[in-house]
Amino acid sequence: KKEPELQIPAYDDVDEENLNDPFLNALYAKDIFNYMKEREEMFVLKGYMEKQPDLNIEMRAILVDWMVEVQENFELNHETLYLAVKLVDHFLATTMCLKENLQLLGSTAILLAAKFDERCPPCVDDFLYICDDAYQREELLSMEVNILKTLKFDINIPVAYRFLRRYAKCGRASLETLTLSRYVC
Amino acid sequence: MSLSSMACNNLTFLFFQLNEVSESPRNSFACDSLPPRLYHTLQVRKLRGHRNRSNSDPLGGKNYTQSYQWRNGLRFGTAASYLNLEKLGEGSYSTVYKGISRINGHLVALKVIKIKEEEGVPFTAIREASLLKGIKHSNIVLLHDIIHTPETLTFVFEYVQTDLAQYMTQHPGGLHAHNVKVGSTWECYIKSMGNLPFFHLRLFPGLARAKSVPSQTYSTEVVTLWYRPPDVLLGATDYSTGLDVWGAGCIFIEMVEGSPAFPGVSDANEQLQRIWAIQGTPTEETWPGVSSLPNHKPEHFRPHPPRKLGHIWKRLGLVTKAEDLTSKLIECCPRRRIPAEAALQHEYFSSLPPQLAQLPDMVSIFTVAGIRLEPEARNAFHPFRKERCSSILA
Repeated sequence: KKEPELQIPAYDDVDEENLNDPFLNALYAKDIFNYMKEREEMFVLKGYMEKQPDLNIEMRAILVDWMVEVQENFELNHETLYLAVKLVDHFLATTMCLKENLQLLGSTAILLAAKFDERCPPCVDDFLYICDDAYQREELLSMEVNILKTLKFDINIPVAYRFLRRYAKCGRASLETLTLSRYVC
Repeated sequence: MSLSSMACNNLTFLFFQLNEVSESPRNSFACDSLPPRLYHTLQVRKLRGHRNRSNSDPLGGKNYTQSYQWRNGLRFGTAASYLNLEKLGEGSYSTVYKGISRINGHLVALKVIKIKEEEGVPFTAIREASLLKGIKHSNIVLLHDIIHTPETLTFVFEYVQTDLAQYMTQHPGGLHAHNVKVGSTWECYIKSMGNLPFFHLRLFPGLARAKSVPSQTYSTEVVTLWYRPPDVLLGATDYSTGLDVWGAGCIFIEMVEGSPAFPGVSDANEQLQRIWAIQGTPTEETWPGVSSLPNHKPEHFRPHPPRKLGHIWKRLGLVTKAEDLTSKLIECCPRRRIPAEAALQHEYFSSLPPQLAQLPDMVSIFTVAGIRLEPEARNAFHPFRKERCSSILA
């Protein structure tokens, strides 16, 4: 049986054809990829759920589903959603959180990820609204600082979707294949 | 308004450790090696001598020796660990102070950012801190510490004795041609350093944006008007690294000439007029696609023919190949603009040692044999010191 890797074209070829298009940054594509791979190793997550007395895996799953909905509603980039989930996980890996505050954590994480990566991030009012006014502005803003402090402002975390986009480009995968792959990562 | 007054509202107020020739290039903190006590005394003495010239005096004339003492048990991350010495500048979202660390006596730059009541931590601060966290590079200021209080965030940076903006202020009328060349390599090497692919070249006040493989772009208000390329001025949002190449070109001209290349004061239209007056009003031939940009309104712009750059910026024409390099850096059409890597291969740089290309990130270019700054012409007469004396006497 043939190794599947052999069928994937070397990514040098993929970038070469785009070198004339400065908007695709083909010149830096390999550097960026290596940089992300290097950084990814600094953000390896360990299972944390058993240390969270008030939370369980189902609650996290519900939260992430809700975050997906928020991303669709605000028409945010996929990367923003992935980063927000990362922020939630890294926060929970070190800090105890009550279940009443889980949604606050999730929505604040999206706010932070959007501020980091979106051209026009939604405003705080939008986030208060999507939480159905369950939280006050002060709570959201203090959670924002709380997350930043807990993660020591180190929120430039490589997300799976960036790698997936790259692999899809190198493998010349169709948009259908790329979309389907998102279910896996 | 000068570069230096803008430097503080910007991400990286920073960049080049451009020191005077007499100093060793990377060791801008000559004082670091002194014992804290002695250093402290020096600092206080220096402050007294200069107090009447300081922009602001956060200590309000209090007795420094009492308020300023080395303490044990001071930690990073708390405001008490740093002492403000003087205000260096103020920007739209932050104020920068020169300060001193009570932990180790190092000089620092304290960038104080107001947390907005409505929107929380400014996105610029989030991007700046999170991106700088991961960088150690001899041409980029180190972010040492972050202090949080309910109303403010303070970023503690290494103190850079002279940044490019200050250096240019101190040496008006254009820099020494050789120093411009050495300085320009910094601009381009930041770009081509392997570890920093995520960054736009940040030589001017502007947002360093994380750049990722899928090309998505951000606000059209990305860089200060003077350094904003025409495609962005015309409303393009699909800009890329060419944004910085344009800015690099503008700074290059500014270093050579001693005055900004396109010092627009009001709005994008005026800025564009200034560019067209020199580069020629673009047409579909000189810039395919220009007419479909959102803010392209040919009725607003008088048609200008392109002019020879050496006629406008006289000193550019005096240096071999400088004019040619400039014309490629400030090419209006972004797709025709030279990439940073190619710019470094330009003949203009051919007189510099080739080892520059292999320099590791944390190594200063001054370690390469043959790389040094020449004294600035006006420096020989100490014009800056003279000014200082006269202002004290007045």
